[in-house]
Amino acid sequence: MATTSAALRSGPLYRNLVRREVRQRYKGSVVGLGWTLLNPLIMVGAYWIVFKFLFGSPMPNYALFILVGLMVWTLFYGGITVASSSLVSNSALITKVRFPREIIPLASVTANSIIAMAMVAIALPFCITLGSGSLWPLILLPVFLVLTAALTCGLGLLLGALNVYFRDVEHVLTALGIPWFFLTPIFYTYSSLPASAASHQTLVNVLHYGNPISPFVVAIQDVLFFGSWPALSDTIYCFVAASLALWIGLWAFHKLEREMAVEL
Amino acid sequence: MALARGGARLTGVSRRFRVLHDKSSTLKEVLVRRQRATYTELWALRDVDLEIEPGQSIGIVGRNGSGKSTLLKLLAGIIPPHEGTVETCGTVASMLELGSGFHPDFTGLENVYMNGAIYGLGEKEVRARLDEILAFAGIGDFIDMPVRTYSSGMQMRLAFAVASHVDPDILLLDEVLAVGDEAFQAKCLEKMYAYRRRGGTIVFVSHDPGPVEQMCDRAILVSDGIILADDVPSKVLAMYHRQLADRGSDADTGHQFSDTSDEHPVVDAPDDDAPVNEAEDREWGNRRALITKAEIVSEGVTRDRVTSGDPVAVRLHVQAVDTIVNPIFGVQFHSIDRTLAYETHSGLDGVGFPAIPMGGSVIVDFCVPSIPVHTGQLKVSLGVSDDGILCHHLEQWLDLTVFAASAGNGLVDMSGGWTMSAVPSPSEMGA
Repeated sequence: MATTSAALRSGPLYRNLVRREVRQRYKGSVVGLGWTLLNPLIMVGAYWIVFKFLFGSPMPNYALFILVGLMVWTLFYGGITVASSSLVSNSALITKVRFPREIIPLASVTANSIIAMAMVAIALPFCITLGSGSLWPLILLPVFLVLTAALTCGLGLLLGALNVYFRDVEHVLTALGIPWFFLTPIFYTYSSLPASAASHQTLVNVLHYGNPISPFVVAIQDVLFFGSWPALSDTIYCFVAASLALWIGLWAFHKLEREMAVEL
Repeated sequence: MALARGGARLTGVSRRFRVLHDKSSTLKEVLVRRQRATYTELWALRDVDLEIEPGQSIGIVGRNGSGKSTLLKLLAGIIPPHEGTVETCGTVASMLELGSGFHPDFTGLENVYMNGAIYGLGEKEVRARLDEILAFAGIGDFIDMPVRTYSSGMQMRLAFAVASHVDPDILLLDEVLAVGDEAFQAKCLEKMYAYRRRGGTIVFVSHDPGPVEQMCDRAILVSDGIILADDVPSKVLAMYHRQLADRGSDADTGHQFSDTSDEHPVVDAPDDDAPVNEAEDREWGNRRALITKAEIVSEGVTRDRVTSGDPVAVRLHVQAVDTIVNPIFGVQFHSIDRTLAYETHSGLDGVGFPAIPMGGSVIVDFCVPSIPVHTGQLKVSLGVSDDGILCHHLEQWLDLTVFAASAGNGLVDMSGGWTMSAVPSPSEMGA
């Protein structure tokens, strides 16, 4: 009961933290919240030039395809990055006031997911009008978005708590960002690889299932961009990975939370 | 036994701290280093039992590093004990630092909502208290400016205004009253009295005995991690003073868990209070009552200079803009080097005045039968409040020059007599 009332009382703090995080990001900039949309569009433009023109990708609506993958990546990687540094940057709160500290990384993830939601809002009408597949799989889109968010929250809680004790975590994450991005099927699909790569099926499988975010990206591309039902293997993977990450994240957070105020 | 709302209990509580000899917290250092970090374990608290009754005001005193701040953080639930249990019943608000969580780039108003949320207040609850909070802070139109444009005095006022309107069952304060000028501290104290009257529990940490003496009905002396004394404030403070005198004047040096540890970084940084002064404007309050005129009267005449030992009255002409339910008047005398010579208010002196109806005017006299100042200049500050909420404060408003009536020098009149008597020489004693 004590935890329930504590969680209820921290509702306003959670909302305030989210609001602060969103506004802080664009405070004093002319375009303001517009950057949440401009940023990914510029990215999409650059990748589109490189892979459509220079490499000649044959996929139709290729820019839209990149936008969908980039959305999932932003939701996930953006989320775990901000969550990992969130506790350290809010140390003033943690060392002076008692409240459920989970809400700090969770508020960071929430604020970041607003950007991803803006990207969904752009992509969705285009996917519906331009797509050649069925619209029915779209009913699974919210499910997979929630699963991605759960994976992000779980990993974010774990990394945020670890970063309190080992400040390298956020730097490791930054260093991994670009290689990880390229190893995630954002501007390619595993089914449209050139023959040279397709012959190494084991390696492709490792890349597909060894990278925790890949099945999520593939599944969301399926339901949103291709208009097809996601593969059963990806679906199961997403459910298992999301619940496991959330469970481990919460468990580890509570383990690591106790001494946090001393470390910060 | 179950705790009553507003009560707290510590049973056999111990808490260690590691004083690292070589602080390293990067992953590489932890992975690469073959043996573990060398550190000394120090007991910040050892086997402490403490029972706090609802409605008590407890002052915790002790030298820096004695464990008093740790005790407060344990009560607040910010750090867990290594042994024993900490129980609290009801809502707990910890004011370990005013304005923690203030963000410089956001406006005062935005920060009020954020700060309220930190203490567990929803938007609606903050909105309901907003007028009172703003009146108490008295920073006017600055409320819509970013907090980074505030003077430190204004930040403190705003922070305390929010914190003091939270109204928890248990309030934990750490040296909060050590910041700000005297006027601000008086304002805070008034607010604390009001909270106490409503039956709130206060646990208050300080190495300054003054507020403990004024505000608490019980005091605890913590020394080297144990409770050395637990009694009425006067007795405990006397013991604390003896301890300070015995140990030399290291009450403010900090970083001392034990006599051996003062060269190493202490993980738990003790009381890092930065003194803040200068409220740049000399007049503030919610102006529900106004001091329309203030003067110093001696022998029926308004004066700004008197002779030591004269009768002196500080006279306030107060007009009630609104109905003042529980009027309290305060005066402060500072020497020109800003040393507080004396301060009091009618609430502190146990004087209860009747309500002043809206639009009513009163004249209030604070009479000193014989002014004990020897020679020097005094600045007099005045204030009127209603039920602990400041209505009007005039900071260092009046000047009073006191001329010596006898020889000698200095601010306080200690004029006395000298005597000398002969000591019998040994030969005479033997005779």
